[in-house]
Amino acid sequence: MLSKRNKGFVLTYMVPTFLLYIVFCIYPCIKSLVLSVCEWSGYSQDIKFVGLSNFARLLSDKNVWSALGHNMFLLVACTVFTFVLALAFAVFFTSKTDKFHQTLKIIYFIPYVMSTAVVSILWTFIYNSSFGLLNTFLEKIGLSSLQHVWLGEKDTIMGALTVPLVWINVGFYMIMFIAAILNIPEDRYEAARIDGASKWDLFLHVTMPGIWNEITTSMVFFCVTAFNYSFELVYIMTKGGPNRSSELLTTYLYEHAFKYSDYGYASAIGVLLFAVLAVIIFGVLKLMGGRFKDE
Amino acid sequence: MNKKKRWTPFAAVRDLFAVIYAIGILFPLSWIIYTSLKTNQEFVTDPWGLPAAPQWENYVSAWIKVDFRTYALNSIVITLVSVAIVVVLASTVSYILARTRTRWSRGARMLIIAGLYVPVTLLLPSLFTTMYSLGLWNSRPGLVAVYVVFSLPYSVLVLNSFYQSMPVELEEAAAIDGCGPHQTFWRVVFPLSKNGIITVIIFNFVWIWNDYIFALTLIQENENMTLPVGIVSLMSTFKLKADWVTLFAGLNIVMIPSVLLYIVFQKYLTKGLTTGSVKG
Repeated sequence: MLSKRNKGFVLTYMVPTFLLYIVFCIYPCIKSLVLSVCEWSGYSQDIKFVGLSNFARLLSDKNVWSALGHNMFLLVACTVFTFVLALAFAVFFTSKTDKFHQTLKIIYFIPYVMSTAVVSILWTFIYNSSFGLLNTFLEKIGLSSLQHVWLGEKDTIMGALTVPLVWINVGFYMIMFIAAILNIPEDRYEAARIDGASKWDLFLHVTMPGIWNEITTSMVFFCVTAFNYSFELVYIMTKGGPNRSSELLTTYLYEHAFKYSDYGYASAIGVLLFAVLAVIIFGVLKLMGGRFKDE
Repeated sequence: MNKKKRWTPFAAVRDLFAVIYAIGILFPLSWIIYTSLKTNQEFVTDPWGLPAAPQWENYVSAWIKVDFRTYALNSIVITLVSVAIVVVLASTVSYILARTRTRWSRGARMLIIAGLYVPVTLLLPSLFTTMYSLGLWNSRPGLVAVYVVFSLPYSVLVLNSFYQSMPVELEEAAAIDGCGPHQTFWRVVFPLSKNGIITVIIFNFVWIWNDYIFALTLIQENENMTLPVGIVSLMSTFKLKADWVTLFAGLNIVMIPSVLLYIVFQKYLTKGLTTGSVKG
């Protein structure tokens, strides 16, 4: 226990840390909430209270709803692919300690430690319509009919954005799930095997219930971080275009704040997105919490 | 565990798929590397092909003709300074919070760890205006402050659980021997938490080195830019000049340090990442 005579020590480090944290994290959070009911150009002293009119504007703004749709598409598609792949790899790899599988595990994590700036530029070149890796590959194997302007066509753009997002995250969640599986007491597997359980039974009745809580928390964490990743990716690769067909609420928010200096409306978009996120997290916890628990 | 080696058809398909997925990561990675050694002519005629002769001068022109030298220097200084400050603040605060059990300390811990769940993209406008009114916008110290703050949640999560599992007897012995609290912490406790500290250093180095959105929002002038924003801001110039290979040289300058650091220290990073989410 730290006694009274340590007061100097405690204050030396606690005060600057919390001061920084309050100024650069908590204060901006509160400011976003407050600004959502105001009109402000960002630079003047003149902040006008406008009530709920920013939110009324949201409701009638078609771009907001199509952007929200894109956000939801990416969120659902990325969650499904990322979690299915990560879980499958985790189950494959957990009991494998040989060099070959260890190396694969290390490789899978690499995209997670690359800058999203690099990943975005890389995938821009993969999708480039004239000298991109994908189209030139299709041409080489004689499937030119499958060529697309991947980031320029409405039908392909969202799918094209999903792939790099999954590519970045699979390794990270695989590592999370491996740690979770290793935490399951071995005797549960033993007991199930004695009862004559097949591999599939073991997965369904021992592994899944054993890591269900970690899957749930990972999903919540993924929902939060997916907003950041998808923003960076779309901002660099397509800027929300062409013709707003890949616009996200986050890129729309950014545009309103930094192009039109419309901080009130930008903050209102942020509050909407935060509310959506809260509902999704609540839904995930409600749907997934408790299930598998008593097995 | 079943240790018998069996190569069943299922295992074969599984390993094949696993290898294909690994190629899906390794090929783009090596493509970035070898494309940076081609000529622009070679790149446009066959993006898949290997360079006839390695063009090392692509790196020279990235370093000298374009501003990568400035960006790299900024990235190095900003990342190292931020990580150093985070280590000092996060380790002491985690230690203090682990050794005090009051309602305040529990609240403070919760408050910091809740930061993990803040979707930072939504905060960018308010963060920008806050920085602007404090005169910290477009300044490297301002960016460092923000990196420190957004490194705290994860660092405190890892180090706090580390200090909680550390026995207090040593500290008490140090105190009896006449060590003050500063000495006790820096001479006795801190060295013992080496593994946790390394995890925190690697993790924060990687994300700060790679960060794009904070630097995009908080830095405007070329001379203050870090590598990720710098390279994206140069995209249109490269496009105009059709100078792709210099861009690829730049990509390597951004990518290789963090990937290398990860490969060398991957045990610390992956072990540390899982302490937070998996109890026990």
